[in-house]
Amino acid sequence: MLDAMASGFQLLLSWEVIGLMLFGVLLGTFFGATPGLGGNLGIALMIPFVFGMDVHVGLGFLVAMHAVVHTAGSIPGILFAIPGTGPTVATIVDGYPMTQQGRGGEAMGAQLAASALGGVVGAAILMLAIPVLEPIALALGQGELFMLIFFGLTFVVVVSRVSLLKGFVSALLGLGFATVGLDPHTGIGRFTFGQLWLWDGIHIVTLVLGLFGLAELISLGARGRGARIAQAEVTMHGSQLWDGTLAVFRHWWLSLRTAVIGTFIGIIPGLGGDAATWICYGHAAQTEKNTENFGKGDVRGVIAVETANNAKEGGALLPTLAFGIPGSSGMALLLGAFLILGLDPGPRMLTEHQDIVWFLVFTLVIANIVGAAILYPIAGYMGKLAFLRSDMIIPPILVLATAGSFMIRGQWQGVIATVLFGFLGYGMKKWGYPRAPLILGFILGPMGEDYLFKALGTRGPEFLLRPIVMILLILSIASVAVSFWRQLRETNNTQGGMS
Amino acid sequence: MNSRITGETIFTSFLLCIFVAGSVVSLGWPSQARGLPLALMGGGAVLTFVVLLSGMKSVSEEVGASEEAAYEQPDTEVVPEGEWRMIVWILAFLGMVLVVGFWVTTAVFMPAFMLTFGRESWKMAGAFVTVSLVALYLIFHVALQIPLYGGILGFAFL
Repeated sequence: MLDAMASGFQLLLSWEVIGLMLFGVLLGTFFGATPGLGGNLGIALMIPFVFGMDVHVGLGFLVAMHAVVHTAGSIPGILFAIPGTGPTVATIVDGYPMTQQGRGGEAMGAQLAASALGGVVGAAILMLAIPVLEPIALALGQGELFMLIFFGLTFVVVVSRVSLLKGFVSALLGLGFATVGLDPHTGIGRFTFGQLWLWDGIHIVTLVLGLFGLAELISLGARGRGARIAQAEVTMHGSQLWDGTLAVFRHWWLSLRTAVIGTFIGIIPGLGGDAATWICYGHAAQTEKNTENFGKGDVRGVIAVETANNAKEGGALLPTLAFGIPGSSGMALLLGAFLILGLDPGPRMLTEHQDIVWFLVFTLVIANIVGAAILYPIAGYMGKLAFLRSDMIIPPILVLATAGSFMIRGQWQGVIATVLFGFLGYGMKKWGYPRAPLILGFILGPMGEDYLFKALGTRGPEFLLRPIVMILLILSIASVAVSFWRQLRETNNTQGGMS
Repeated sequence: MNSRITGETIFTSFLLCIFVAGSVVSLGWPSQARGLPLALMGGGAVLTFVVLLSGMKSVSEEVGASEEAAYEQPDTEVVPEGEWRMIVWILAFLGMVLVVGFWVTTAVFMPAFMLTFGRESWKMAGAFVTVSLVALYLIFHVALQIPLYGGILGFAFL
């Protein structure tokens, strides 16, 4: 194994590889930070260019690009509540309020450091887990995967701090939106109303651009011409970035936990990055002390999401390499690139091409560190955008958000849907319906339905009696009970304080 | 106080309508396809009804500032006419995109918004729209070669 590790490292040591990796990092930053583009589009566009390259050169380029997409994707989310990529949606929940409070630099410092740390931890776990991967992955059947999704859905309670009832309404709305489109099992069009463009369902980016991005633009514009995103009169300076960076290490135990959880969720094919970030956010909100500021600008919310977000890529690479089962949509595209470059991912990959596996691990580590390092010097300047007047912010963001929603599927109806979701999001924001549960329901709903259908089809209701399923069920009930108890205690404390 | 509560009641009623309509629509599908949507929509309708009732109750009980504090990130500086003005601007933008596409909309909407809403100078608005159009051109047309929507009138670039 040490020989393979050394060979993998040697593959890195060429100007061609290093140059293309840097180029990949820059491209990934661009694709990640531009709402509506996303890393998948970037990889899809670049795959033709790697055709004919040496295997390690092409893979180094693509993996480096993929590794930094989510790091950059959080920046527009923190600044304008417009996520660059799907999994970065959860960053908005605390990142954007921090920007509104004039702490955008701190949020970005925490985001960059947490992303780099998460990426490195994910790659490290990838190294350690290679020998023990197979039994873990095989232990999870459809029932276990359904219960894992169910466990994720219980975090609705955690992210609905304002009003639990409204949080559940919001989650049910998200779950309902997720059912739009052709039913994967019967082929019946649900809520499609004869519209062809709805057959594929509502795209997450269309929903999020409206629900958060456009809603925030309306909110900003409603405050008048002189309004700024940053409501607090705090000057953005480099020390904020440093404060944010230090926060990641001050909360080192949380950073490490969420990185590890994120990696393991990434390992499970089909769960994807969205689930990883929300589950880790819920975990942080549930296990940390003094969580009353979660959702209102708590740096720990940013840290939990960002470590998980980059760590899960290391995890997602595992099943892709070891079984040829992509752990995420981005990995599905990379899998295609592997095949184009003449590699055949599967169990033999770990024996016959171990040098390439190690090379990819090192690439992940380097790309995550270099990506964050490149973004640090420009993050301060980007953060200053939050202090521009609203009339300078609204038109370009409006164009970018709607163009992004159009580009997702090349359908003009997507633009209308984004605007409608924008109005819905503004109404929810104004009248106290938390928006995070809607996104949580929307993301986890279809996966849950699919796994439940398969679990019932293969084992019937008896799947609930499987040991891992039962453990996850108990954890879910405990998670809800603890959250209820905490909320009750906080309410009692508040009432006690007021009286 | 009343106008805000009334707005909330209207919004919650709107959500209730979505859930009820969703339940009714899903009743028309075969049992295998309707199970989950019907459960979600039905459950949503019940919960929203409870929210509606509790909201109406709180109107009569006078909630005022304590409820205000519970709203998610309230915007203290929002003025009602400002909200409607923004909604009209966004609808105008949407209408323009659908009719004349992204390029013309960007060229017209941006300066119009900056001059009237922001009362910026012509110089500033002109510079801003020029930079934005060049950026759009470089990103979408040159680098990505993704055609932006040209509207019903088909004003696609080149």
